[in-house]
Amino acid sequence: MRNKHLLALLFSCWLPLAAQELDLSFLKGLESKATESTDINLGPEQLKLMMGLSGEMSNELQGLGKNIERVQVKTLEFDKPGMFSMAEAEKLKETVKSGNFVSLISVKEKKGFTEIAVRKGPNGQNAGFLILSVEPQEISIVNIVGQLDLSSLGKLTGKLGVPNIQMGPSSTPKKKDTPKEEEEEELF
Amino acid sequence: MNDHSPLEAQLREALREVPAPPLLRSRILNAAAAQSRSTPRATVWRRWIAMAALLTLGSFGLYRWEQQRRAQAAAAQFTLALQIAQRKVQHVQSKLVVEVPVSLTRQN
Repeated sequence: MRNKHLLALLFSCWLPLAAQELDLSFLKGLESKATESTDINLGPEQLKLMMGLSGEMSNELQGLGKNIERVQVKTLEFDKPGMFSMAEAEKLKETVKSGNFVSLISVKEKKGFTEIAVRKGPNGQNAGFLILSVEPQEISIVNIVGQLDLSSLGKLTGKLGVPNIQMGPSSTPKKKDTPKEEEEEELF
Repeated sequence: MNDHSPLEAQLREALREVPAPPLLRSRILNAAAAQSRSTPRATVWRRWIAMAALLTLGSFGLYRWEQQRRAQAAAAQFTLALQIAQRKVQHVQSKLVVEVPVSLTRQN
């Protein structure tokens, strides 16, 4: 009887942690077609290690990472368009959003889309966000579990190797600024 | 010959060859053997302690180095993840900032 309670307790502890991690195994079929891919999966252990890091950038990293529990990034880049169907990509959206996500911003383009969804915690508070971006030659999924204000990403500009891109309404592109913005895009 | 002084006689007496006591050789050998047995034992212990201390310190240093390496790798991955996220957010924001007002203007 005690064992059953213990197992139930362990399961109840494991379940929320497991639920945080997105199952991206469905991308494996596309992985072989991709020319470049990025796979980042940082769990609590790695993030805790990072928080103990000392050095120049440690304060900024610690400030950003203090409330983050998991970081999961998967990007696939293809050498030409048409390596995956839009139906596949739409299915991806449905699969990824099947969790506790509330769509925040949805941008549909000619040959792709970008979704930014907020993860809802048990008490309705924001517990992370998900970015899913599908472009003709690129699929990107960013899953950040924990409390990270999207605007805090803007604070990264000019730090940690992030180019100086203005965030917020003040960054409204003007015609004369367009070549500069293109130049900044290329930096990535 | 009678010129020998008493001093010379005393010297001769003092320096005359005396046979070693019969047990001296064995006593010296036993003492040497005992010493050779005890000294290396202590030295071996000291060596073991020094080696253990060195190994402990080395392991700790290696562990710390490995932790530091893993932390740096995590920091690099975290930074890359934020860069990708920021790029995507910035892309969406540029679409919203540029396209939404234009469409709203058309509606008006």
